[in-house]
Amino acid sequence: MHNLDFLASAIAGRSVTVQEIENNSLTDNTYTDGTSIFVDKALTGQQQRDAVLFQALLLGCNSLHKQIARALIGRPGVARQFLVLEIYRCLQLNAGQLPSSLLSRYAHPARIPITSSAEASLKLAGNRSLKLEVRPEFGVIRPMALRNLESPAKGGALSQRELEGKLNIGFVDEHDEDEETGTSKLLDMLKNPLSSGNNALSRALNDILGGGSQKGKGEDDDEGYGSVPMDRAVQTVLSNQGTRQKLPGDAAPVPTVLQESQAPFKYPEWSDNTQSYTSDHCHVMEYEPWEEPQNLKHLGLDHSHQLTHQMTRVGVEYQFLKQQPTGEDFDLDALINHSIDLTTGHSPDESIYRLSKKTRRDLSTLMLLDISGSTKDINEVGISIHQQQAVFVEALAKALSRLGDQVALYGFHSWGNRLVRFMRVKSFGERYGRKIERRLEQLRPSGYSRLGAAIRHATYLVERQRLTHHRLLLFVTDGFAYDDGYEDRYAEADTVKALEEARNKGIACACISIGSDKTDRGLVKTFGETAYLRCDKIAELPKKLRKHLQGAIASAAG
Amino acid sequence: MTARLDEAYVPTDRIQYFPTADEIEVFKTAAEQKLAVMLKGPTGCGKTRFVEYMAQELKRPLVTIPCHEDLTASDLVGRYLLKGGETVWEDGPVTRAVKMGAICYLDEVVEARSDTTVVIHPLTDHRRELHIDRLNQTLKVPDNFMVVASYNPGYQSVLKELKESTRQRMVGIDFDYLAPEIEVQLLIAECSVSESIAQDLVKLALAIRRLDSGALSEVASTRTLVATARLINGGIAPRRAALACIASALSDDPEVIGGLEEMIQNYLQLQY
Repeated sequence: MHNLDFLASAIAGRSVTVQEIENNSLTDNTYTDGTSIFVDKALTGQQQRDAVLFQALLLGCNSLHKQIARALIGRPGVARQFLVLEIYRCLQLNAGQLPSSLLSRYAHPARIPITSSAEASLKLAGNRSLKLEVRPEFGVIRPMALRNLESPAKGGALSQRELEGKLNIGFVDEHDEDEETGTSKLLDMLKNPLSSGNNALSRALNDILGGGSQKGKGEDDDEGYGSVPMDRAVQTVLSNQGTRQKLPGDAAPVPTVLQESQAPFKYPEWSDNTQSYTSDHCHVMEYEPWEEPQNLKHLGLDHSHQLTHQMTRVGVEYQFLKQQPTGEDFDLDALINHSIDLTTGHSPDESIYRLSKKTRRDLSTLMLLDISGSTKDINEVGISIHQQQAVFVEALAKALSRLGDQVALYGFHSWGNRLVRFMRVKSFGERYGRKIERRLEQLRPSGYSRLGAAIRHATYLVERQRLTHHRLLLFVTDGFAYDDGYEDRYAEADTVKALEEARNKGIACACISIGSDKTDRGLVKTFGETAYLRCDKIAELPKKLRKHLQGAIASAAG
Repeated sequence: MTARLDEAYVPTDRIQYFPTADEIEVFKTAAEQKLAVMLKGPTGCGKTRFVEYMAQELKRPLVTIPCHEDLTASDLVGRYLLKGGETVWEDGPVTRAVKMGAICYLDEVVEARSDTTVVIHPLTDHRRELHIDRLNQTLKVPDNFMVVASYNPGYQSVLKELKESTRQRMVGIDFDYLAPEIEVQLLIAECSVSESIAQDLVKLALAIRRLDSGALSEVASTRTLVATARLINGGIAPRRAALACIASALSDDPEVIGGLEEMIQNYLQLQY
């Protein structure tokens, strides 16, 4: 987190992050793409603050929505003048909300006209005779980075594309454009954007081919490789597997490997065909989600309060139980009341003891979040399954941490047996905080789910957690396991086996599906009726969850 | 729990109150109509101050009961105490409030267990009576007795909720933070700071209140602003005061505090 994040978000009226960038060119400094503000490192501290404020202000005043951005593409001169006009307009418009020192430092020069709206500024900015001075703190407008920015007034939340970070397009040199014509050849690119709405088509195909929600991996990929059996990013990863070096820009970024040794954890897999284990078949690596600030959270579906409300009751017991009929010690208040009752001739309450039970919270929970590509599926209100799952696990992790429980949270996905990735959002030892939430925001669904290997590694992680008596492995997914050479009966048998191994070690296993509209028979079969919980809507979950988890824990303990 | 929970509060100094909307009118009418009132709003927005002000305006004593989990019905109504082998009856705060015809203020009512808060049910509906089990006595509730409950629907309801039957006995008044101009006036009147300091403090608070709820569980309340202004008035440098009363009060997370500190440095000047 950058220290200026809060300030920028407060001014912009939405969550934005601040990143420092190095720039060679003097003119090309601070800019925004609508979700992040990129601030020039070369500026001094105060200049940086001001620069961030100006960009946030433009976002907050909705000066950079896509119609305007598109009109500015290829017209850097106009963009510069527009920037100056808008900054002074917004400064005046929002004087009541801005730091007074900022207002005094950027007093409005009399010769710069104050326009009435962003559109008016745009019109006026076309006038070449204005010759407005751009101060270095003003930064620049990069219309290409903003060309899909929805006005918050209309869209409310960020669009899905923005949420997926698709706004971070590569650098396009706008200065190459022919300024005289006032139009841009880049516009052609816009007319044929990469994501030409192939979702409906791929969904239809998927339905025709009878694929469940799991089989159409990558169907929502904007790059349009939905029909390829593997994501392009995946293939790159696979082909680079030996060296695992830098990947091309659009592929999954290389995360930091967490293990001291680079060697993967190796786990066997149960083969239904041979009725035996294939040893060292699956390779699991742990990573920390990479630093690439995004704004994924708070999409107007913040159920965390409600969830927390219920979560907090999971396993809560009183440390001391007062007014008990039996116990080790007298409950003084109750004893006095008893004595008073006797004196006044009432029939006394016999519960005068204090019972100290083993009430310390005694639970470690490892949450395993399925971040395979299918969780990118979007429901009818435009929220992906991944979003719903992430909001849920965050709320649960927060609630359990608040209760003092041991909580760990990992995301997992896989690309075949040799590449099972564990993304560490929170390990058992870490404190819950913003850092954890940020890592969660950085998870990007892709790939497939090799559940058996994931359960085995999770079991290994939970097993090391010997401090508590009860241990829970909570698996959050949208559907049954599917991976390269891992489907149907084979996958089912291996998952059952892996769960059996975990339960034999006294670890409770439970599974939750959020946002899927039908009960997944595979999951019911592998986890069992009682350990599987499905919810269409996240709002329904809190009501059912407590019983569900308590049941799972009780069955493991028994 | 045998400690006395309250003293009837009769304010000596005149209490200032800056209304946010029509709450004074609603409260007065509810009092006339013998209805119970529930004040809802974020921490530090002036709920308790409002009750004190209304007690002063209506010239009724105020009995405040800070609610907590261990509060029992007999803590509220009363109990026998043992004094040298004798039993002596001691009224609880609710009984005392009934006898005085006071405003009985249950602060943070959700903190109390719901089986405790049902004690107030017969007081607040058409029955208007208090039955004391132990004494086998029924007190008729006087007309100027009134129940007021407050709670914060944000953080606290995460853990607890008010019983539906309790809620529905009350008239709800929603509170929010004051309008910026009025908050500035409040800071000037309450803490005698200069207008420019007050304005900058309110701007800072507004910016923090605009932040996404994810980062902070609570935002800068009027109470924290008053505390900051008091420290400034007492000679602490403005930024230091804001750091102590706002940033440090709102979070323990160093990253969050860093972000807030940056906001403070932008909004507040080094010296005024």
